[in-house]
Amino acid sequence: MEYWEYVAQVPHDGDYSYLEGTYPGAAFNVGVADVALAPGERIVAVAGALCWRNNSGGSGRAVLRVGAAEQGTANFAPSGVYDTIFVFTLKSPATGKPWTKAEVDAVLVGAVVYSGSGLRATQAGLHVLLHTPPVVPLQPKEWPMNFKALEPLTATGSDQAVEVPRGATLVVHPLAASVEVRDVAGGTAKLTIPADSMVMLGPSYGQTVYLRATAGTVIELGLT
Amino acid sequence: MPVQWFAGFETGDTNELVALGGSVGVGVAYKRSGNYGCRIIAPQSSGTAYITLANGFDANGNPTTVSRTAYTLGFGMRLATLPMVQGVWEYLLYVAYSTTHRASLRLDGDGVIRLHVGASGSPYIASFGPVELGRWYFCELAVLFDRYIWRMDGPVVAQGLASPGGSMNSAYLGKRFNLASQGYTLDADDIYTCDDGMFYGPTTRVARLNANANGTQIGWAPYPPDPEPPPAPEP
Repeated sequence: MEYWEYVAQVPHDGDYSYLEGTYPGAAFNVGVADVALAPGERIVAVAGALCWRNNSGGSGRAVLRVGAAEQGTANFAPSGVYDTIFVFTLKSPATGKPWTKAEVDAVLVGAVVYSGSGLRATQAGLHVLLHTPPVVPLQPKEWPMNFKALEPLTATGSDQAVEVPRGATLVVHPLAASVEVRDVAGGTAKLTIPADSMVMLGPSYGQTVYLRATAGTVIELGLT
Repeated sequence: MPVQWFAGFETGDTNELVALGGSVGVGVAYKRSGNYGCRIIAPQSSGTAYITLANGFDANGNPTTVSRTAYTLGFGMRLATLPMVQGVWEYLLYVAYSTTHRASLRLDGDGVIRLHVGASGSPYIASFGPVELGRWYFCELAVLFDRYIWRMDGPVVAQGLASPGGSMNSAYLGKRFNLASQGYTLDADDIYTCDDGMFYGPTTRVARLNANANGTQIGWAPYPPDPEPPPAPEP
């Protein structure tokens, strides 16, 4: 049985299995499972967690290690009942910067005896606070102008089909005579646009409209 | 500094809390993420049930309360039952200096949560709901010295100017005081507290990484001791 297995049970098993510090300077630490991050997820804070108690008159501290860098609690004498204490950090002890996944994966959690003996550790692990920053949609500083001028239409006196692309708005400007607008060729005119006035039809679902005016009438058209 | 403390109940106990009172349990069925969550059963009788959140640690690594002028906290919450009488409310969250009211979220019998800031008798200044039973929400509340911000599942429910009336050092989740004796049941998980207005949003979670490898060891004796290896077979 590897010694890390004595402090791996969740929930802890108390005095059923533990590691006991036997003299001042005695130290142990264990590695922990890798953190699994969701896409975009970030590490906010990390806390080494050690559940221990005092079976004699010992004192010591919990420690969190990344490489040679170590952070720990104060040295103190825990009580006689199992209690979990934490080494809370916002930044990696190794770099002083926010934690990276590689650093969390390499963390060691453990304890050091400062004086006496009889410190019993029954559980060690790491707690990590994670969050995913909101995704901010990118927006252009200015919306582009999407006006598109079309060749003017010269009326023939009968229906003339004009296809309006989906999402576009048709600008109609008859110059000298009114123009009738139909949604069905040869049907009843539903809309009459007076001469020298401008009407915008749309947005389109991809429709074709039919324009009819006195032969020779110039109809200015545009899309936007 | 942002986060000062967090808890996900991932060790299967309540050791991450400063204290608790009444019917508070930790179990797999109460989790929002990870392996464990917490259930608070506020009684209908004249009892209370709550957990005392930390906003820091003492030198020995124990969660503790610290007096601060800004108190922000986020927590996953799932209600299983509501107070049983219309128009009767219970505390859901009580932010205080010791036990003096600074701000609170109060749960009404109709499932509406109402925010009060300042003296305990002050009228509510924002509301949310009615909440759905059995659904996880992520509630975040910042009470700063002159203003408040309240978010549910990310979007802001309410924000504005209001003073809590002094510094804060404690937050209690659940039924902190016996008032109407109507009770309710609340699951809580993935809790954090900050000393500024930082919010982390509804994706916030606490992960537990268990020991799974040896590091270095000197002078720590295992119990029970490893059994002797079996004798080598006869040649």
